[in-house]
Amino acid sequence: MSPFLEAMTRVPELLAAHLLVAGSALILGLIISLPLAVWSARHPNVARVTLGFASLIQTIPSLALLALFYPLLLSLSTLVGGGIPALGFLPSLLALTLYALLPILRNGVTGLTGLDPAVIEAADGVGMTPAQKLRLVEAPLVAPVLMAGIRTAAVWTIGAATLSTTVGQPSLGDMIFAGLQTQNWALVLAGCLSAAALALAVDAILGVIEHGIRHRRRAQIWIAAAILATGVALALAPLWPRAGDDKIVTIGAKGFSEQYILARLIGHRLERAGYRVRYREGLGSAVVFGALKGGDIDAYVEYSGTIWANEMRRSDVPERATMLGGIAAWAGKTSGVKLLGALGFENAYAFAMRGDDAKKRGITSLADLIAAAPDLNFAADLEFLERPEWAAVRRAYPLKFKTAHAYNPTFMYRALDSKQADVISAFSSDGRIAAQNLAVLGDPRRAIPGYDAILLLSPARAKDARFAAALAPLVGHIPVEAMREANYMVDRDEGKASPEQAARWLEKKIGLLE
Amino acid sequence: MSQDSRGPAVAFTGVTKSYPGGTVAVDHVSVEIANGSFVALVGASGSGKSTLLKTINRLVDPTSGSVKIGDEDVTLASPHALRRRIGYVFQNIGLFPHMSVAENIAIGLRIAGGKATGDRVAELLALVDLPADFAKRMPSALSGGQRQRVGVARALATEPGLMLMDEPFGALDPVTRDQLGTSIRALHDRLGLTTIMVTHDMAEALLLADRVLVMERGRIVADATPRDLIAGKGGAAADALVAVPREQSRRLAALAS
Repeated sequence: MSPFLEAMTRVPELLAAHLLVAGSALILGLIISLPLAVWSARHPNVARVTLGFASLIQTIPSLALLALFYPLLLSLSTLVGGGIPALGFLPSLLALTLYALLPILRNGVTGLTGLDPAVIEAADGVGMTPAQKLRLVEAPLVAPVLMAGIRTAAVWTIGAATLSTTVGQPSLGDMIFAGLQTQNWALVLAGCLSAAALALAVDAILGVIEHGIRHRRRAQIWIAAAILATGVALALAPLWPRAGDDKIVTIGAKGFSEQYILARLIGHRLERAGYRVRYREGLGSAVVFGALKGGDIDAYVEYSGTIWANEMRRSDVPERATMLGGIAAWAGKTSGVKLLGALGFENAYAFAMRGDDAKKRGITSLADLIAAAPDLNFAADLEFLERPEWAAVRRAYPLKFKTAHAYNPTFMYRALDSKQADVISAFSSDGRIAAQNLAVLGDPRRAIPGYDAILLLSPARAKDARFAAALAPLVGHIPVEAMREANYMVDRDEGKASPEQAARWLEKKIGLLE
Repeated sequence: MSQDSRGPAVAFTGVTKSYPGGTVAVDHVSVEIANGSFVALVGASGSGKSTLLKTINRLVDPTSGSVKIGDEDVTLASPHALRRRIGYVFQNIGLFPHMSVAENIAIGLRIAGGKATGDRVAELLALVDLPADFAKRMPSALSGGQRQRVGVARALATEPGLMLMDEPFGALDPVTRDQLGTSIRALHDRLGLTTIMVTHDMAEALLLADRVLVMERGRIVADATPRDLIAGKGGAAADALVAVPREQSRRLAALAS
């Protein structure tokens, strides 16, 4: 099977989820904006506020709007004593609904205020009640303009729904984000084409309905509406409830290759233990722990330093074992999340140089680097220069590089390879370290915190003995060399493997699969 | 529709309409209009004649004063119930563009919960001198004069006793104007209506109405029959308006001789 066709097999389930969230947002948007449009058309002051608000929403980047709902719902949930999911369907629905408001509202208000005043005077003159006037005169006359707004809203909503992946709502964006991270262009293409085809199809059908309304062709309206309803029902088929759904578990993954591979590894173990497994991939670093706490996902792999700094808000750097103990105690006490154990490798920031260059210059550690730094160019990933780790490193080792530039990770490695850079901020489990024969510099003053890969279980699964037993063999069994090699299978341009294939390979490598 | 039904009387008592900012459109008007009469309200633009007319079907609510139709104050019923008993025709017609001629004519019956048969629509079309096969047409397929005839048929559909007409012929060519004016007067007589017509055209008022009220700056400045106005008994303001058609007909007569 070609990579593209293989990617297409993931479409039906994601398409259903995508359509569900976008469709629900459109319907909710209609329910909110139609009365608002009528109210706004009657009162110019109200129109200023509603249209101003809706326009303001459009200026917020959709990704930010989605992300904003997470803390908002989280604090709301805390306020009412819990129970409001801050991730997944709800924040996506709310953000997309806000997005759908403007075109519907604007076209509705424009249509209503632009109606021929003589027609309105006639409606009043013959003795229509306000409700009759709306139903018999205003609504039918505004319908074509309104329908154009609904079409715009539908296309926007379907497009923006790809971003709901980042707050943990499955959508066609899952394929786009995963494909971008693993440089699997077939996956990206399949995701983009599916989302575009969905938007175009819905727009075309709504266009036929709009044409029918404009030219008063009832049959055309009903036939198009029936096609739309049938299409939606069929597309949602993968979501229809089936027997045994309660045994489904969801594995989370952040948006990079190692996470995709480990999620599959966990999933395979659980499948063998009799669970049905689903993946929620491409979750933002900021939301994934919340998703676990809330039970939206059942397990995922985290890195100890991230929990230590971001969730526990600690700035000290203890021994790796001390940190793990602290995290286990903190997680159990504050949220019921269970730290099943460390997998056996670290994915920490690691300063790396070309191996031959390091040897020639006699540099083996960050301490050696201090004297050589003024002659060297430094390349970091996009966020490293702003992170507390970089500040900590500079406190311990006063490094003054000739230049320091930020790169996308892929290009950072290429810069080192092409000698545009001499030192990079690599990740210790990255497969490219071995593939490019890089030398990882030691950290004798222990400035960089530990980033042990740790397996976390949701509060509900913390009590599920069978679940824990299925995953226990992973603890302490993944050496960093094996992880690097698996990562490199995915993170390469030539002859790359899918995360699924890399996970199978890793299972064999560490002896979990005969 | 009975031939001997008579329209109601209309009485204005101290009707004033002022707008925020100080504009006074109607200034303390008190006048009684007898049942079954055809009254023309004449005046220049901004004289308050349309505003006064609209206080009857409450498209305008007066700032003070009261309006009675027969013995009943217009504020007693809800506005839509009041308007269903009153025929209303205005310059811009306002046919519903998404409804056929038949649907437009039947709208008054439909919103009151009734239904108009094809025969009834044909009867109403005949009343305004339009062929029955116009029923299926859309308003966009009609000429201006035909549209206003449909507007009149729509106003008559619920058998109102009172017809309010606000510059009903304002947008029509002179020939159509004349024809439609004659038709309206004939309908008024045949159906025994009370008709109040706003117009800025004194000749039209003189030829169609039983009684002419001249308005200026929100007040009624003349109130006379056409015969008295022609005879110069309407006062200075009315004379100035009557002078125009009188002079025109004199010059036309001179041309002919």
